[in-house]
Amino acid sequence: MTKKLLAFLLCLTMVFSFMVVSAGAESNNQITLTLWDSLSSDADNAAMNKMNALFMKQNPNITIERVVKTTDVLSETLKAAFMGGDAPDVIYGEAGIGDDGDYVKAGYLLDLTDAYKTYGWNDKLVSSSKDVPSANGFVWGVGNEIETMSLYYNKTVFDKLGLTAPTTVEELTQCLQTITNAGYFGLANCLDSRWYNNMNFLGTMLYAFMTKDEINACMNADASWNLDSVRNAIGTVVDWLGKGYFPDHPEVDGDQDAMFANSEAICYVTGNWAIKQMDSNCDFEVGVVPFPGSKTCADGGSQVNFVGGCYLINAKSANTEAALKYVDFLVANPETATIWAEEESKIPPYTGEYSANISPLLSKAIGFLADNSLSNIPGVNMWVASNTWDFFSTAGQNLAIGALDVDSFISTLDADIAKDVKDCSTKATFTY
Amino acid sequence: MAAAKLGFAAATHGGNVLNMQIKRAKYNRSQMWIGYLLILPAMVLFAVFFVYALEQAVKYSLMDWSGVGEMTYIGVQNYVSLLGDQVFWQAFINNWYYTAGVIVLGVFPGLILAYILSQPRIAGRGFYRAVYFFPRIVSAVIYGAVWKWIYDPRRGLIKVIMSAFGNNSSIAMLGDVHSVMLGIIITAGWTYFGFCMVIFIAGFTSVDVSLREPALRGGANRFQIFAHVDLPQIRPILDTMLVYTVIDSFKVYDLVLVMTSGGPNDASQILTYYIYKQAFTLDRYGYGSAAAILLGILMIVFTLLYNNSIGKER
Amino acid sequence: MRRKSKKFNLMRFLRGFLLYSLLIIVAVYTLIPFATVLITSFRTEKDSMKGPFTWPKQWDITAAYSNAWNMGHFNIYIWNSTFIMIATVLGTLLVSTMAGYSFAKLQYPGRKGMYYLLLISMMVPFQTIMLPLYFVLKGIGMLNTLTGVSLLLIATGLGFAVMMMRSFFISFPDSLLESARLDGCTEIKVLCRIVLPNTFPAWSSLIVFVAMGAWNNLLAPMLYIFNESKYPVPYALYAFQDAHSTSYGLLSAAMVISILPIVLVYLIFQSKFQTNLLAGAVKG
Repeated sequence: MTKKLLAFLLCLTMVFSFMVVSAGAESNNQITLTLWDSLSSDADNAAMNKMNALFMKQNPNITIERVVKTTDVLSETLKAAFMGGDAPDVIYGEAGIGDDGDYVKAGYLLDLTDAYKTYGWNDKLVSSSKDVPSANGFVWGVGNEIETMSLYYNKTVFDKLGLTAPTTVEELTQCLQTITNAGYFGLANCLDSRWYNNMNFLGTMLYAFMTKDEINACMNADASWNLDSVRNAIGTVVDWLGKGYFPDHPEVDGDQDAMFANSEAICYVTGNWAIKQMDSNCDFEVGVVPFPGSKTCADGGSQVNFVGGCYLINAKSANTEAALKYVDFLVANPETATIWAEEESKIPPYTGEYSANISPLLSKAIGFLADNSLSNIPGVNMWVASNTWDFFSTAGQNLAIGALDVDSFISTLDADIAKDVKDCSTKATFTY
Repeated sequence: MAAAKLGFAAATHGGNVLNMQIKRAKYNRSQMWIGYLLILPAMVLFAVFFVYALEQAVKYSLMDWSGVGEMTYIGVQNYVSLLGDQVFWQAFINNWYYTAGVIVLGVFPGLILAYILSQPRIAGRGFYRAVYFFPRIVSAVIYGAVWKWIYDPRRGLIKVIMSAFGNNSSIAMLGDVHSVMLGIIITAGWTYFGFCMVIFIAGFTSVDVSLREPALRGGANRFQIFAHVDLPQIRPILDTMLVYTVIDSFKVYDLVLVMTSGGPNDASQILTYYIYKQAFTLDRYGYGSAAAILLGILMIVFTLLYNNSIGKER
Repeated sequence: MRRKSKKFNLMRFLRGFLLYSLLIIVAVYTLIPFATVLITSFRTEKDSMKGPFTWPKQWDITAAYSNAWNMGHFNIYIWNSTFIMIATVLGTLLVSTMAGYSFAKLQYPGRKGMYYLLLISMMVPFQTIMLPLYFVLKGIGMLNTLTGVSLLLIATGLGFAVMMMRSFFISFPDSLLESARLDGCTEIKVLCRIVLPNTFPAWSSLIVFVAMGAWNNLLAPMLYIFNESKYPVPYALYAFQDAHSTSYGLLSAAMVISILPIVLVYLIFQSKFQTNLLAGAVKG
């Protein structure tokens, strides 16, 4: 027994001393900034490390200590860390009010309204960068990784079937019918157990039918979703489900990317983040167009934008000046913009000039964001609060299995919004 | 030392007599102190990591709290809301369904296989034991993912087999609200039967074979011998395994997380996932804590009731 | 006479045939998922994309593994998991043996009560106490450490471990202890010289259970560890699946890498698995 006890104590001592040594690494004018992010995939990871290395070279007195987690773990552990007082200086996480609202209310995040003026971000960055992470005058983050939903399609099969890219939802329906008749799956999209598959698809369909004013009313004023446009949008989804345009059993978790790449499914409603694997896995020519609006929509529909990541700064950080400088380097700088675009195929918010060697698909997607004839609005993922979020994350699956229909969709959605309004967690009711 | 080891088997019966003599003596001073000292580490860990934590959890359950920021005391309101929450009851029922399923697909096959493998002259017994137990050591993250592949209605094993027989329809085990729990249960049973079997084998090997003689002479067939002679002897093990299975099954989490996330439409919702979702996804930490406390109470009550009824039977 | 023995042979043969068929079918049923993962991990990326149950046409034995290993930093994760596993096993053995012996063989007031209290901790699920435990760990300065997680796992596994050890010790013959005491040994000496050397059978079973539980634990590390460099394997695998859901080959290789160490532990201790002790514990 003594031997085992000794071994255990030895282990304990080793671990403790290791921790002590690594903790004692700070001294002098050295500032250490801790960053938590969720850039876990290899390309993202490498790119972030590269940017950090570049920053540390240009600012030798600042060290960046980086911790990577998956998105869901990041949000849970962040909560606990804020409460416990050991949260990092800079966080790269989600941008929306649903994710960050509670932190703002609890006073954990720095208000960046002044920083936007001081560092010139109001002019140097795309507008959603500021629009998404803000409510009622408080700006809690700097949006990064601008994303847009578009319609991607298998051009080779389209040509084979004599189809051209649709310019309205109604045309898209016809294309899907032709494709299904030819024995393929029309859409690669699955409405399964994963929240992003539900929200992204439904959000895109809704924005194709709703006018800008309707969207704004819902986003900023908690208006009811009991609108004809919403009925049409969800009705179309139900119609497509009934006609079998989706893969068999869309409610079961499916491999959307693989089905599209294998030419099993011909159209894919997804965002520019999928371009990287499309470029490497698809043997055919991939076409992309802005997601077509509906003929019934007065202003031709809007494109769904996301702010994929957002830099947040801990209000209680000891080094807010250094942190702001660091964030400025990461977002408003041609060097980092190039890294984002080239190495990660992600669209930086930087509107200034930068050179990047990128795939043609990506430059088309960037083009959509810059296109003034298109309406680019933050998608529902960016602004709904907890209960509404929970609704949307399974609404697609529920429609697919028939647990929801057009009427119950609208009534349940409005009910969940009412809950969020009661909790004061929507953009309109936000207080801090 | 060698003598002590040899003496082990022989001394078992003799030990009982000595035991009684020891009990009659008053508490031996040095024994007492050593006794307390030896259980000290365990009790300290218990106090810190269980009692204190539980106390805090109860405290949270009486609050309206989002997990971040301020807490407001609301008494038993969380519990009242819970009892009126349809999803909570769905999860509750699902847990019992899951437990029953694991008993049927795990404990019983384990029992039968154990009986078979404990017969004399079965070739490769060690091999089968090792193979059947194997799924138990793998993490749910892995086997949950693989069974998801198997159940995939578009390219899973079931679909492949059906297509080979010319049947082109597809079954979505995990997509249909009526079959999703069954799908999860089948996977759970696959993990569990080997474990049960290993435990029952031990029980069967200690069965008194001589008791079978009178039954055989009386003309009983194999099945009757099994039911009336062998089974009652392993009854204590069976009872304990059932209790263990119930408690262990109510703790299921990883498997549901990986396979369905509680869906579709909460059809595979279970209490542990419900607690997690309320507390972390919906930011209702107090409410989630209340559900967690209810789960704990349920488990304790069940165990006490069950042990009581076994005691009465004997 | 002859006819009777021929019929008897046929029945026996049939019964044996059915029996072994059943055993083999169950064995195949058990092994299919593993075989699938193994085979898929040896296919090329493009080939495995067609689906895990399609006939493999292109083989590439090492590509998936080297990719998974490099992308996944599995050497770090395996080290972390091994640390947690060993620390948890050693700690559990230490604490539960002491406590189990004390509950089984020594007399003192409150003994039964404390034992039953400990058993209650087995019934309460981890989710009930998971957030308060964050603050417990923080309070003792062990948050975000492998040691802290190990300590937590030891504590939450005590109920079962103590139950097993106590049950084993109950069936330990008192006569041996008595004779040692009569010979003039102190209690400690009795424990060290007589009891411990004979405990190995119970330990083998406990080791497999505790090692398995510690290695496969997903939730605790997910909540209490923040550094990627300290992730244990199941959590790393979960994150890996999250990021690479399309690549069947890559995922399969990662899975195989993840279970190899625990398979080793199993193979080593499996033969020493004294199942009669296990059943005895279950009885108690």
